[in-house]
Amino acid sequence: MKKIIMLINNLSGNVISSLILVVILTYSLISVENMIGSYRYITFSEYILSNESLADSDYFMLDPVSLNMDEQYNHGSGKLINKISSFKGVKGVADSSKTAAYFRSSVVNLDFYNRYMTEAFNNILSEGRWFTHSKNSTDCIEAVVCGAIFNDLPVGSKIELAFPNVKETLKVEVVGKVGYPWYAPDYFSISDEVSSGDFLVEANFVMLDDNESNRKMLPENVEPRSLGLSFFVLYDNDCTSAQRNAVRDLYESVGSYKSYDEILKNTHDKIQKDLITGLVTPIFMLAVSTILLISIAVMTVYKKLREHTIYYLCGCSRRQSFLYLVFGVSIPVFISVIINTIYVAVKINNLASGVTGYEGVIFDYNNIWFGILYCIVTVTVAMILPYIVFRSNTPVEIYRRNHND
Amino acid sequence: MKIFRLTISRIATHFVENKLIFILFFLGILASSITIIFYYGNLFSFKNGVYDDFSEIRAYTINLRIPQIIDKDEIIKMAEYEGNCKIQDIIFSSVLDENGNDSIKFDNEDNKTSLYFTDLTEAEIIGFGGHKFMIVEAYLNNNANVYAYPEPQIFNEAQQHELVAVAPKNKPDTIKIANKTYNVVSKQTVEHYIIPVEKLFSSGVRIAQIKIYTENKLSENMMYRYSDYLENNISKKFKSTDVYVEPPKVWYNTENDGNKMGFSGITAIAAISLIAFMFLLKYMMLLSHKNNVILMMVGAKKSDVLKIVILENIILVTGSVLSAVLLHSILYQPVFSKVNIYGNIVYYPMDYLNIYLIILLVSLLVNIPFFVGYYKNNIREARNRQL
Repeated sequence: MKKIIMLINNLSGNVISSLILVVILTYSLISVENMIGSYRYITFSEYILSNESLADSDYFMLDPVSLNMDEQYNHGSGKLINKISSFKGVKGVADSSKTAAYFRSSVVNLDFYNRYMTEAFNNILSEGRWFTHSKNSTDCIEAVVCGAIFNDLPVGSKIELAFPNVKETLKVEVVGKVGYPWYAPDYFSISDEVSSGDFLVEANFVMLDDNESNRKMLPENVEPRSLGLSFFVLYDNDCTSAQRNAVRDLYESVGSYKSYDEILKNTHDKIQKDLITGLVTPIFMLAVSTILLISIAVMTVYKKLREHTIYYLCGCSRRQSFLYLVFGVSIPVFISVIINTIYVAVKINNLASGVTGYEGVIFDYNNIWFGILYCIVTVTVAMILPYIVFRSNTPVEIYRRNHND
Repeated sequence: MKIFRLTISRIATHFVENKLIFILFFLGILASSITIIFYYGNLFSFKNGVYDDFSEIRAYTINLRIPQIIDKDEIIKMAEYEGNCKIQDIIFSSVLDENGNDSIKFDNEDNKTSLYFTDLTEAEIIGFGGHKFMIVEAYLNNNANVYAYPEPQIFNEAQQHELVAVAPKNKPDTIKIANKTYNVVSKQTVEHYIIPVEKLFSSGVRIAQIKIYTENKLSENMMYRYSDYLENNISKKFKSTDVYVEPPKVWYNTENDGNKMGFSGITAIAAISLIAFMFLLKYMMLLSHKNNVILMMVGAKKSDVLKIVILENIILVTGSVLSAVLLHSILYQPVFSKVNIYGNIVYYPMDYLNIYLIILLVSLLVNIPFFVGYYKNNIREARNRQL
């Protein structure tokens, strides 16, 4: 108890500054963590897209302004996809049909992937394998699962999915899993600046092979549909530029497109821009908090030196006395680190329990290491000056000088 | 002058006797000031120019509740105002039925022209007032870079005199307007059909909306004056109940809200970071308490001592802020302009002066309790404290 009181006593002269330091440092560390989370996400999405199948592809975006709802519905039902697939030089269109199901009383996305979709997003799989594309011989469909709700299921386990207002269930066998951060492909973006980060969504997904026999296994009223508003078009290796231009003319008549290289360029631009703009706030704040921490350390030594000479005369060693000072100065930093760790823990916990989902960030305990490292280095640097002051005078000298004052 | 000299000598003493504290205070205020300068440029919408390139903040819309046949030249003359209010372009719009004929009746409240200009995608399918319709636009100056789409210049020189049109994507290659066939020369991401202005007026269709774009964003006061001017002139021409002018005030309000938010943000950042370093200044001033006692003992008034303390505070803060301004302006091109959240932020001397005044005001406010404490102390208390 005595030691704790002595520790807290070190801060008694700088309470307001220490509180402000806690606020600024906590805010800067949270900004850094968010920035690291965004950076990790965009580089992760870039990794997912760096795939041989996608290397020769275009991302097509239907222009919803130029179509009315009926036309959009018709395109969504596959007319446009079939038209594009029939062009020479086109290998296929990576598309999925969607519906919803229930698992453990929660809604999950049930996506039927065509074979080009599994080729295009091969990298998302972290465990197991993709579908064998063979006809089902059992009453169980092969599935790849993604999301917090499936986290405890090992590959090979069999689960049942329920559907709203339908008695029948669908039995699936987990043959593959998408691991943390549980991002799966989903197309929504229609933009000139589309980047790799726009193709992934964090949610609970069950992905099935899109074939007739699998569709037949679904209850009668459940019909997966493709939104068909945007998709990747994969080209054959021997596709000529004339063939490619013919397909692109079709895109231009109903929408727009971005080539794979343009998407990668947009991604790199976004990474650079996000890094620069995302780092500014934390850097300014960390600069202010570093100077503030050093100031607090120096002030604490100036104000408390006299008291510490008395501790020395009462039997406390110089080393122990200095350690009290170090711990005293570290308290605001320590509080900030604890608040940050709690913040990250709450976020991860919410994500794992499905309470909230996050877009465009990857959050885990790896994000806090930079903050902890920064705090250790700053506290060390902050204590160098007080250490010099502390070492350059003996306690007796300080006591005499202060007594004479 | 004596007070000023005394203050300077005290600051010199601080520097000599408390170098470390002095440097930390200087660095702290410098870092805080640069942070404040950065956010001043990026948080205030009048600085970051978010709205400057935004066409709608320069758009004055004249809505005709009942479409009218109008004289183009008369409208151009009417749109002209004072010298600094130059016209960039004027868009004339007509609401036609789905066959391109001017047959829609606007004779009741449920069938207002303004309804046709809202949420077009929905309206096109369900129709308003029982009609499916199309909107045809014509740009007086061929767009003149008002919008990036469909093109900075919509039609080339020859096309401006031909029966040609720009259509939304996925529409047919020809359209009929007032019984004349127009060839679609381009399909773009646009919501309406666009035809040359000459052809719109020669077709004899009624105009439902006129949108005037000024070359530059007007000041808020000028925006209201120009809007009133249009309203007065247009009311003389048409029945006042049939027409109303919609100035871009909603965008000015949004910009003002952004500026208010920016001011709160700047003040909060300034207050937090300055309070954090003021304890160093307070410490330095407490160390010079002995000098204050001596000054008071030799006859200095309490108010004079307080003046010295306040002046000391002002000079120290001014020195740090000036250094920050100097550093920022020197490093702006190579460093700070590259990390701006918004592009094209230019800092003028007036901006730096504003920032200096904000910081100075906050620093004085933060030190008020300290100054009050100083003023309340009488000479005996001050001397006893010193002993």
